[in-house]
Amino acid sequence: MRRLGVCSALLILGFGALAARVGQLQLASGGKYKDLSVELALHTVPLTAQRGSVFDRNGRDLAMSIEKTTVYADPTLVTDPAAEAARLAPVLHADERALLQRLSEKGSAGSPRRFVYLAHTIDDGVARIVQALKLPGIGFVPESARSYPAGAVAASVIGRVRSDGPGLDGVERQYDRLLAGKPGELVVEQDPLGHDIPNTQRTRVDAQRGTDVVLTVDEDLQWQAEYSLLDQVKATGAKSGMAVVLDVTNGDVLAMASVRGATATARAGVAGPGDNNAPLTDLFEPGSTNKLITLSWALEHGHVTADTKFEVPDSIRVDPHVAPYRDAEPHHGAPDGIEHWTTADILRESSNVGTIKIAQGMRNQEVADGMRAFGLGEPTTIDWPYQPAGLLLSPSRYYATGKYSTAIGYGVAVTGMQMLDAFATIANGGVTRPPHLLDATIDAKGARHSAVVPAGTRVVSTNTASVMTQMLEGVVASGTGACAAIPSYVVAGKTGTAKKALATGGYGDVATMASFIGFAPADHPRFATLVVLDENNLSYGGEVAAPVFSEITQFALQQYGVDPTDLTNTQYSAARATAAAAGASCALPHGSDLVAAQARLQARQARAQSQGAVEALPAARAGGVTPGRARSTAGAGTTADSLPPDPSKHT
Amino acid sequence: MSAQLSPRPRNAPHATPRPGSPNRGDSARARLTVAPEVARRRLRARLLMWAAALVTVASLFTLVAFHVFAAQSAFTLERLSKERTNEQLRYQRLREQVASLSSAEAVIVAAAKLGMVQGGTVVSLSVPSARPAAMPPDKTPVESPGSSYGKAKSALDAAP
Repeated sequence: MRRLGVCSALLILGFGALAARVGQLQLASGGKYKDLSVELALHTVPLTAQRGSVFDRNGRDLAMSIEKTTVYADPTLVTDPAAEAARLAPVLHADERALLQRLSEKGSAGSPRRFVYLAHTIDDGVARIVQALKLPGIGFVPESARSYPAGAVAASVIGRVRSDGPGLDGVERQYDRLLAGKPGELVVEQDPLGHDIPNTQRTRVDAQRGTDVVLTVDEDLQWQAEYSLLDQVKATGAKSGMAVVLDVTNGDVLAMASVRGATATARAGVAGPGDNNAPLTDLFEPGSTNKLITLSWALEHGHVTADTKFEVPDSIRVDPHVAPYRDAEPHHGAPDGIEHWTTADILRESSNVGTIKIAQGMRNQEVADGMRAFGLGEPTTIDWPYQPAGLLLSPSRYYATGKYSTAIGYGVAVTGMQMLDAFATIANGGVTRPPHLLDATIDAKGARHSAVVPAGTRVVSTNTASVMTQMLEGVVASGTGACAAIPSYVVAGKTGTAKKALATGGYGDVATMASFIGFAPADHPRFATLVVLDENNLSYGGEVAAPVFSEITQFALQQYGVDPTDLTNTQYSAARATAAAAGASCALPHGSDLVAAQARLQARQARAQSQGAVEALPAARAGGVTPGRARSTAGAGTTADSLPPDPSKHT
Repeated sequence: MSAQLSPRPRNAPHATPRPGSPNRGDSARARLTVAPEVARRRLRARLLMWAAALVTVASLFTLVAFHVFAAQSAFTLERLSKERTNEQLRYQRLREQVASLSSAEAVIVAAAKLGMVQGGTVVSLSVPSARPAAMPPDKTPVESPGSSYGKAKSALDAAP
């Protein structure tokens, strides 16, 4: 009996101790061990939200996301990092040492590292090979990859995204919050080898797909703009170029092209993702295209009418201490060198002196107000990251020359879109037509939400706009913009050839910003187009930019089925005659013609180098400026601009 | 159930009531019943047992069948879900393919492969006597790109 009692006591003591320990584990430390167990078994995999698509105005994909496989590792489960890195490196085309480093990042005992990316969005074939390797600790998650099916078309507009999602440039950056969506996560329970345990805790928070963005851009027109601009950049050896097409009836930006010229190391090409979207980011002095604003404001405020006559010499000194302003060429055709031009003539001939004479009748504040009223000095209504406002001189700092320089487009820095906006205002009868790039958004349920388009404001009267339009038609029919003419349509527009400012001060002899901005059909405007070429080797806007304008705008008119307005080709015939008299073909070289044009350009550059001279200005041009004249203008060290005026001199 | 009253035995001695016990009268005696025969009782018990067994087996079978059905449905659901995912992926890739092949760049490349070349300068002919004809307005209904998109989009669920 005694022995039985002792045994019973021992058993009771043993079980009691066990019960006490169980109690301690369950009650006192239960929470801690539960957390530890959950931490070891549960594995959270982030689920990236599929990024929204970017469409053109016709619903064609410009950027889209496709689900591909991403390979990750749980370093705590990797048994032999070196061996796994060696097997994965050739399949993933990754650096073996980098892989080894990632696979070895186990973290600390307190906070083990359970997730590292090994390769993002690999091809399906590669994913299958990696899966077949069956390596411990290696896992796979679906991840969205960005695809740009239109290739390089509008690449600088669309921009790009970083590998892990956020937009870096362009539309991808501007509308990142819309496009990005909301990431989700998948929580799974895994065994010590990293395999999912079936029928265990599994929580999935689905990622929410991003909103689709519909742009106003037309892919076909965008391609045409890039194609025409690129060929001209190649043919003229320009440093870069930009072109924009705007629908005047609603402010839609239909095309926005940026092209970079050839360098010693790279061929000329359409700006890629990550490059500047030049029309919205690059500032330049507009030159003669700015005369549109000066003259419109002078007309609006009654300083001149289209028929007001001026005595216009070929140079004018506004201050005895400053070199005179000159026209692009001397007025040899007129007796005593003084032309008797109307306001319309001054615009047609793009006379600096004539414009300055008009500006002399205006107060400083009036000139500045005109620039502001047309939208200079503030960003356009287009949503764009880091869009500059441009630079405008304050009237208080005009001093002796500021007003006159501003009047002819110097001392002012603008973006291409700002200048096009000003022309669109005239095309729209004097009311601004705020440009926009976002047409609509489409949510995950397919509901389309149209973008809010800001209303326009009146800048000048309908009458002023109408008079300006007629004057701009004259620029194309018999002035410096003859090469911009389009068969069967009446075109209104203005050339610009602004010398580029030197970093050391003053202006260079050769480097120019050659531009043409206009709209068509002039009587019922539908499209406003801007073309700018930076540092081309032929120099003049009427010669190099106007043909590009003509080709792009003609494509737009035909593509959108705009009814012809000049079946008798009155303006076109007159413009052809003007161009022919100047010896300009106005042809935009493509294909074999482009090859020939590039060969001619190279020969000319070689000849200029052998002569030890700076690149000479062309003898044959739509504007009819001879190298001698151009040099004489440059020699004045002042602002010289524009294509020549007198059609009779275009020989 | 019919309860038969048993006849009192004629020569049975009168039972003397115990002190303190309730005095049962005729009514109490009338509730006494005769137990069924053993064979009948056994039959009933057997029937009950069989019925219980049958119900149990049927329940178990139903449970198992339901479980199997549920498991099969889960598999079907998973398969369909996978199919849906695959089809969505296929749709995405096909859409990308269509967009790539129909892009202006691809068309130009394809045209060049076919031996097509860019046309030269377009020469326009002017007809001096031509006058703009009054053109009837185009009455062709134009479907905006977005009008049918919503329907297609909702059918494709989360696919863009």
